[in-house]
Amino acid sequence: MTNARRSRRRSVLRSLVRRAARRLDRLRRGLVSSSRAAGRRVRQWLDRLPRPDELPGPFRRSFWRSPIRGPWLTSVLGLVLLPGILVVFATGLLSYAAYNPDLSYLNDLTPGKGWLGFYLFSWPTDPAWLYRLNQGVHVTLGLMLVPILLAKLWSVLPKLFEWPPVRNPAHALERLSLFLLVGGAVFEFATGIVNVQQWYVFPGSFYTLHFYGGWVFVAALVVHTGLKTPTVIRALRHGGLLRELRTDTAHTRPEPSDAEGLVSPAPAAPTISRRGALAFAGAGSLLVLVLSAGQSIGGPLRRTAVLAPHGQDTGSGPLDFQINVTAAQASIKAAETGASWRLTLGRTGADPGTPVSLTRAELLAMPLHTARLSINCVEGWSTGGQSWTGVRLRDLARLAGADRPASLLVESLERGGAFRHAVLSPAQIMDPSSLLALHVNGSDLSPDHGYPARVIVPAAPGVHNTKWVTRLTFGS
Amino acid sequence: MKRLARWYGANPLHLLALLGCFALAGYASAQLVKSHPLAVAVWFLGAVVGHDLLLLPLYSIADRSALAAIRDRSPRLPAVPWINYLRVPAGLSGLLLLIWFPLILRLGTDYHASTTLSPDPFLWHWLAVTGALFLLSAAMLALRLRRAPHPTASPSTASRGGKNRHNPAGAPRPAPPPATREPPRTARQDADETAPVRPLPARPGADETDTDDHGADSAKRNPPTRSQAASPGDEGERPAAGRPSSMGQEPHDP
Repeated sequence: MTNARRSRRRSVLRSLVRRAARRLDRLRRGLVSSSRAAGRRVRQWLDRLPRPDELPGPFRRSFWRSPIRGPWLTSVLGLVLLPGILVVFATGLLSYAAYNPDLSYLNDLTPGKGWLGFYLFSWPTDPAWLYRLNQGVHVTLGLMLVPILLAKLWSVLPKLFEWPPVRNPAHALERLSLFLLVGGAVFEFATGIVNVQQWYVFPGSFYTLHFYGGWVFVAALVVHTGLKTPTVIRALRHGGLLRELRTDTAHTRPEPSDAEGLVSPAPAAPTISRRGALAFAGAGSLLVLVLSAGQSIGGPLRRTAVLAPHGQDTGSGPLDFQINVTAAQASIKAAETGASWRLTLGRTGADPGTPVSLTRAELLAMPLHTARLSINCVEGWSTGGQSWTGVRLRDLARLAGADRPASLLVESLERGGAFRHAVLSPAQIMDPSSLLALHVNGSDLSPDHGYPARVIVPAAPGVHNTKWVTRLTFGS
Repeated sequence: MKRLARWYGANPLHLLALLGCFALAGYASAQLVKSHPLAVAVWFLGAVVGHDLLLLPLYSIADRSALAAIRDRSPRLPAVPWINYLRVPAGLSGLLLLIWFPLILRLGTDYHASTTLSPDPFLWHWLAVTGALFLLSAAMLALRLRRAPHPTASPSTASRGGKNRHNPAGAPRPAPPPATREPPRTARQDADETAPVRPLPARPGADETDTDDHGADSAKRNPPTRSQAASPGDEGERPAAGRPSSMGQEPHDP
């Protein structure tokens, strides 16, 4: 190759590159000018909006008078709320896991969960109080966070009336995420609170709504936490956490005006200090704790839960403990549970064999065992420990010819409802405390407690302790 | 890139985080709205509107009305921050009602059928707890009043304070502690009497409004914060910001 050819080729290349660069530049300029034009239009539109001081009511910043509103109070409330909500979210996911949703579609009340219902482990049976603690914390802590959440939302209300409503795309997106945050928070708290009071006004299955609503809320919460961390650090560094907590009403001052627009430009004189406002919210939490924890703790403390749904004393007889579905409500007829009642034991697999049918007397003739266990509801209350006597599930598995069962499908006489059946895991079947109970506290089961026989499994969600059992099918 | 960031209005990471949020939330809401899309959307929107535009304005108005009503009625109010003795029990009682209203108002129709428990006691329990909270609060206020210095001499002097303008020391008063720099009480009452129609200064006492010179006075002595400095006298109605709350002449601790 001669030098002349090489240089010619180089010059052609160079001209090509130059032409491409020119074209790119033109394109870029076109884009810039059109985006500038768009920006100008947006700015013109923003300029035409009325100014904040010409606006009515809450859009005027001086409408907001509280002298304690500001980044400090909001930050402290956020710092209290965040760990609380994370605990409630974690216990919520654990409660989801406690149903062993991977075992069978019958256990999964959040169908179509995709990636969100990721499932990490088989729910253990030991310690037996695990689900009681989990749900007690989930519900009671959730209720305790209500006043903190209310205070937090109060502290940022002026932001709802920000003007101009949208400053730039970033602002618009962030406000949209705040809609998900506030909507998600109130939605989650509201569905949970009405569900524990059995006021089923929400559209659809509680499990589905509360589960996916929780994910929407947490998605927005994670981003909000990330975006606001610098603000929180700045506010606390500036205001000083302890200094402000030592300040009484007389010495409470408004914060210096902030970029967030929370501080009132026309603050009234304080009627409560910041620590007073925090104590007010904290007193609300404490009151809710005192008036509802008793339904999870049980015993003599149950009566302290005067406003909780399961805080009433039911008496001291062997059958006097909390229930959540009566035989009448489940349409269980006396004829079905009388002398004609049989327990059918079956197994699935390549060789299902013939099902075994047992009368109640035959069950009572088997080796009986007693376990002291509580029934713990997803709604947060517990029956407290009761003495259950019956046949071990693992003995029944052997009788059915399933020595190492992979699952157990428990079916009830109930005709409807999501909990007329449940699928138990191998760990739940083989636990020595897992029983098909026939007696409780030395007495025959009552119809409302599941006569003729019910399942009782340590640490399982209450609804998996199926009542009025008619068939047990062991999977292989 | 820089231009894009300027147009967007924030760091590109901000955009990335929000897009991640919307992806996750969108994925979850796709499942959420599967069965009753409209009803779920209404619930979500209702949650925001119900709290931000109903509940919060309602309790704010209640709070301000309590402040305003009693301020205008009684010039003989004790010189302690009484509002919190009303606010706290009312707020706590309202909180309990907000959480437990389905039980209290017996909205869950199946409660008795499924639990065999009586739906009756909740209303009475709530009323009893409310009563106890108010009683406790009243007892604490009474204790506080006993410890507090007595308000000005005779009620008639106090209520007709306008005639007392030049006799601020109408009654012997304990000297204010150095922290609270108050104009004498009667003078403040004067100000209040001469300006009876005021847009709700969210102040605890009936007698706690300031004339401008007092505000300026206190601002001089208490170095103002930035926000105060930026807005002196921007609205005639504004009571001096940041002045020590004058509730009583003793330092107090709510």
